[in-house]
Amino acid sequence: MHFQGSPNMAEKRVKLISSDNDEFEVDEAVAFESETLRNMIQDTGTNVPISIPNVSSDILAKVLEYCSYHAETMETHDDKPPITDAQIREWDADFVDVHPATLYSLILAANYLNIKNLLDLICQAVANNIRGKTAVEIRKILHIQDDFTYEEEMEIRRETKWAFD
Amino acid sequence: MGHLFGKCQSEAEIHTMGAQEIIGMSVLVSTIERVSSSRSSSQVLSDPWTAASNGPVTIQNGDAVSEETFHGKSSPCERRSTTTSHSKCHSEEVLQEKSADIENKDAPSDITGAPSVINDEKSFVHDSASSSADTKEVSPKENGTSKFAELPKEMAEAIFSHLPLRDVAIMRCVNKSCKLILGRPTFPEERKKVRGKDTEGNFSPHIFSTDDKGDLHWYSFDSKQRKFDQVPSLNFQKDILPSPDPELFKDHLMAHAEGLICINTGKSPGPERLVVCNPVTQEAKVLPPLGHPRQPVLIHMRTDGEDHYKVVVAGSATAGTGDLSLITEEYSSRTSLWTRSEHSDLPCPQFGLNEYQNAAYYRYRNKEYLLCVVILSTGARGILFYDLEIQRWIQDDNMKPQIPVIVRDETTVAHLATTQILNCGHNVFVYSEQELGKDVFICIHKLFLTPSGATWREIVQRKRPSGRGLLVYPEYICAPISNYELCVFNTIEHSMEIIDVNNPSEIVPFGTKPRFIGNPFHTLNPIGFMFQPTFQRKVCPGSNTCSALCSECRVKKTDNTVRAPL
Repeated sequence: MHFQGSPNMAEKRVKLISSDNDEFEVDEAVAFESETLRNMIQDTGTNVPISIPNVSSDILAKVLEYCSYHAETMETHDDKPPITDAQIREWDADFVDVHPATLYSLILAANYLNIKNLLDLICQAVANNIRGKTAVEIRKILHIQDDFTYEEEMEIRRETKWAFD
Repeated sequence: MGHLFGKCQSEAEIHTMGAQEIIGMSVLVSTIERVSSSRSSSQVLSDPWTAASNGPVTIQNGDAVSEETFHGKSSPCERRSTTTSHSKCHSEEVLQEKSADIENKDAPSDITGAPSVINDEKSFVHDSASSSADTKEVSPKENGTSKFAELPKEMAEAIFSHLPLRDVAIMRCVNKSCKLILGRPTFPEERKKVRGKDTEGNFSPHIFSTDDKGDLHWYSFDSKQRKFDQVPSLNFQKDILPSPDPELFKDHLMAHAEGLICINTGKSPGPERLVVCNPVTQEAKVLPPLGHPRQPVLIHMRTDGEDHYKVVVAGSATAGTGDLSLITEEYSSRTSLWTRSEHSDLPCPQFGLNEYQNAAYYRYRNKEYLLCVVILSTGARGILFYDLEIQRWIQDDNMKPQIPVIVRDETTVAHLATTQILNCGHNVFVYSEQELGKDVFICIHKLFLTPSGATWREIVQRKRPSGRGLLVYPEYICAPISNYELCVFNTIEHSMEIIDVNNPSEIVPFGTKPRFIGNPFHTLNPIGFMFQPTFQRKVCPGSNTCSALCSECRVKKTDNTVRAPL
């Protein structure tokens, strides 16, 4: 799919190819939100499309949505008031209000593309889903299983009793 | 700036959709708008999961990219569904029963012959030899259905580092993988990235209790939340930190420095047994024996740079060892040794140091001092200064200020019943209970050093709220609850009054009494420290594995499985 509509046509465009061979085109400034892409582009320029072999198109679309919004927040416009921190927080909160599976894919993508703020945002979102929960609830939320033996579990609960009372 | 998205113009649309809808939409959109692309003509980002090292891009956070997943070398379930349909990674429901778990362990290994996806401890030991064929598939799913269990453990670690302290503790109980991740030596660093220099809170004053199982509970006033809460207890490593005997706990003198606790677990009349522990990381080590074994009256702990710490002990409470009662020794985690400088003895009468205490720290004109309360040779109670640099007590009589007492008239002078020295922020205060006839007064004095010597300023002097005598020692203690607030805490009724040291005329009672389980017990030493839990401090700094440096060290061995260098 194309990313279009940048008013600044002089800006360089970058082509990205997802794992399922979809092509995305974004402003260089948007791609620069990713340290990995920034290094890549600075090394080899924008002429050749960049293949991102382990990020699927739907996840890459989400990532680029984040990058483009945050690149935009850095810009100043004479005719528009600047975007406030509160507005950014609200946008971010909406952004992470997705299915947990999408969050995990986004973590991997953000880590891979080295977008620190996105990684922090999503790690915080996953953490928010499990904070204040019991161990049993956390296992359900994360789809992981209790593999302690009975004795191990009793021991660790005794050690950690303070957190349960 | 216009929207960059072609069909996905409405951001709100995306947010309100579930993952499956997004997936469906993306496929649809991409089908329509796909730009023909040829992989062969495009650059390919180096893929950390395939460990391709010849790509033009250097992944910046190379350490954070690993072929290991949360569950070890787990593999995408979707691609192996025919052979791993019973494996836990494919099952959506959470099985609580251990029997179900055992069944999972019997599930066949996947087709590549890699270890089963069950997360045993082995799968977390870094295996640099894991073949790229196995690990290649641990990548974001093309259809966006990644699972938590498939995240590299570095990512799980990053998520956990965003949790509040209590949730981190609960996370340890979720399963073995979580416990191991939280025990990784990298977790404190990850936590520091999130929290900065902040500790996990400021807790003071303290209430200890034991339940009928002998477990120790530790309750403390959370100065930020303004309520009593449980803090990380000392219920770990029972061999090193035995359940305290409520009757004897008074001998378990405790000191604190930036999240590390030093506790004497030795019982009189035997020698001391000093344990340094971090209740948050559950590390503990036994310090080597003192050069002059005894039951010290004073234990002071302080940090020494970013990683290290020192412990200073003085005095002896062991009967019949008067010759030890003035000896001062100092332990440094840099050398793991106790040292005693020449002329390190307390300049006071034998057993002049007779109140259990932590001493206080005072910095004046680039000099660092420890201050403790003793009975001076004049018979009055006063303060001695220990120069931390030269490890000596200052002998000069001008540097032995007496604690001020209430004088009513020439013949009526108050008797100092209890005295306690403590820090609040950078300042030193002395709390005292002074008996004057039938009345008992609570006094707080602030100590100042000037070029001509030490001076005092009275902060508080008031009659005790109840007419009760000194039934329990000490019935009241004084403790800092922030850098500018002190509290006077009734250790029997657990009531508390808060004093702003900058505005001491207003004393505010704190209304809510703490609720706790078990039988409370009282420490002979009034604990005047503010516990600041942190993951950052190690009991054995400068050593990840704690082997050769100190034979006495017993850092929890179960965590050593993940201490291998990454």
